[in-house]
Amino acid sequence: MDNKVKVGIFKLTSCAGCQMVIVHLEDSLLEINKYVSFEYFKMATSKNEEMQPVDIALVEGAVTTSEEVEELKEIRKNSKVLVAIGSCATTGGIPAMKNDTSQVELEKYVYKNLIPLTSVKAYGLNEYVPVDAYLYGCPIEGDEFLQLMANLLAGISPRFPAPSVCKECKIRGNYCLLVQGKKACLGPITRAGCNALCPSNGYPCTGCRGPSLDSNPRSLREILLDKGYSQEEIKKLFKLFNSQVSEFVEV
Amino acid sequence: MNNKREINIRYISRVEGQDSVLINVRDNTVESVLLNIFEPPRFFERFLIGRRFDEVHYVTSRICGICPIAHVVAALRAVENAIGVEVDEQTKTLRKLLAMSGIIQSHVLHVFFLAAPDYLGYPDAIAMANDYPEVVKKAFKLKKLANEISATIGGRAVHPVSASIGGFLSFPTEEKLMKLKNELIEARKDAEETVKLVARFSFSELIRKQEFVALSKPNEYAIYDGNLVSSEGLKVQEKDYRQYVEEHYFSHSNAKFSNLRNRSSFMVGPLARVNLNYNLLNDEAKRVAEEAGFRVPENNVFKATLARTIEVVHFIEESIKIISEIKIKEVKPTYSWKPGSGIALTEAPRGLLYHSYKIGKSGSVEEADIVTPTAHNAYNIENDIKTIVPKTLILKNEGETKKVCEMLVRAYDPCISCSVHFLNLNVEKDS
Ligand code: SF4
Ligand code: SF4
Repeated sequence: MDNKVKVGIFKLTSCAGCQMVIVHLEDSLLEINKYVSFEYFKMATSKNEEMQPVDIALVEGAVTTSEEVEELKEIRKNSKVLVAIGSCATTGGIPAMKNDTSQVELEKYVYKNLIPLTSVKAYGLNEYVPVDAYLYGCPIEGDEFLQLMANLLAGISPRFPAPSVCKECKIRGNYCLLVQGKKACLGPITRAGCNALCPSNGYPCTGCRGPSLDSNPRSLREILLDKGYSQEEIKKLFKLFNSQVSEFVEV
Repeated sequence: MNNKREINIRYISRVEGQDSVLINVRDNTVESVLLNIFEPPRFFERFLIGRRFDEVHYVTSRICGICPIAHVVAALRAVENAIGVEVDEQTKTLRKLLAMSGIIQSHVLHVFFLAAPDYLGYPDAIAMANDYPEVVKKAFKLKKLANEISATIGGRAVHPVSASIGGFLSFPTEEKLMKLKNELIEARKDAEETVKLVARFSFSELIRKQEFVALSKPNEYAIYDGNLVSSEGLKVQEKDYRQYVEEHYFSHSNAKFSNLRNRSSFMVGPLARVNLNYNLLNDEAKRVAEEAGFRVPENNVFKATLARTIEVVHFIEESIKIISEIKIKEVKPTYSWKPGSGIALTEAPRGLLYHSYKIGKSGSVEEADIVTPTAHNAYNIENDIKTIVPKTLILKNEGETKKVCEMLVRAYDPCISCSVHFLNLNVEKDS
């Protein structure tokens, strides 16, 4: 019993959607539980006390306060493997959208009475600590989580291939939203692994999994300009999930 | 002798997100209760500014990974109200089915994974699984089914993609719907047994005079739209929400607290809904409620958990009805739009949810305002704690006080990510 692998799931600034994907694994979660013990899983257990060392730390959320920077360093110090889960933790994701606006203006808008909040710009985990592995997406893919756990338990370093979402879209035989639908789809520059989920449901890819290996945002920009999208619109689109990803922002 | 004590409950576990309660007690009277929601603020309302109207639901989904569907539905309706888009009956029906699946999922998660360990004496559901394997299996089955419905209708369980302005971008096949219907019919029994299981929990008691608030419609158990009604006779149209519900901000918390104008705090959520709309529950839900000894109005806050199980029975039946009757026409949304302002009130799993937007000439968001169920409830939770702490202090030790407060907070199933889209239990006692 006691030589089970200790796993901690931690939440920084996030919507908890990635944790929910793990909770939603149901039967598989019980299966995993045979090999690991969840030491920290705030959402599901009341035995969270002081930070004890864990083997695997799964961290969700962007780092947006100085307290979180300290918490993250504490987690890093007390874990053998640290995995960033979800687009918030990998690149800052949606919470990083606030980085473009000054803090005072943000607070003024949301809170009528200004009080001191120790909120800093939002970044992915690797801005502050070394990260050993990443699970991409908003939210993460359940299957990729299972693969990650299987790999880590077997002592293999996890690898996720990074062709573009387009490839999966072609395999599924979808109607192309970009070419045929003339919609601004980020599939050509976005990391696959979601089985082209959004385009398969008629919604253009918004780049939630970050850049694919061969990502060429400049070229996609040209195509979108050609289709009549303005520079401003393209910029906003590229920045939705990837405002901290230089390839996407510099175009 | 200064008899001041401080009870500090940091990190209420098994609530989603991060919160604490700080209670100051002097000579066995509670001086102050501070529900501190210390999850970092996320400023959604601000960074929605400038984004296109058709992205709003997609972005606001990320306010909460537990009730993303509720935010999607509220955002869609608010934006549609703003830009003058009407949707057809099929779209409304599919959105309701989607919303029901979200509520079932969230309620099952709460009942089995967050509340049951309390009442059965385990730190978590996984530990509980060793002694109650059948209970946990049932829970997983129900939750999985709810998620399958969400994914079938919405394209994905967490952060759906196919619900869109004007309608749906993709549609479920008849085969898939039939499979879901059969599974729902099978799930009836598990849902009924859940009510029986929860009815046997030995609930603590907290009864005080308070106002329940929920949406209401004449002919249906409202979740998608309706008038705002209360147990004290309030009846307000959606568009007039801001004239009746106020918000204030306390320095001890990152969330905003709501109250009714010229009145006090109020309670939203499953207990409020069942109390206010009991007659509109379907016969199955009414029967299980009666068998469980649930009488309206039920004023014990802790019984919110039982109300959730009754709603699960209700929504399973309603989902079966919808799927049996629907003949899907695959029409993709087409609409024309004009700039304007719009509001939507919906019932999320945890209660009343408010979204409001102003869309400008270019089609981008100029103003955004969101009030979540937990923000609606936060002030009421503080008032509840103020009432219950003195009772527990005399009888029991500090550990018990903490435990009861934690269970009380959990009865609301506070969703912290939600409340700070822009919510800590510390009890301070003087001793
Ligand atoms: S990556 Fe997306 S789903 Fe995951 S925590 Fe962040 S916002 Fe939520
Ligand atoms: S299609 Fe694009 S936006 Fe959708 S899940 Fe895949 S990577 Fe994310």
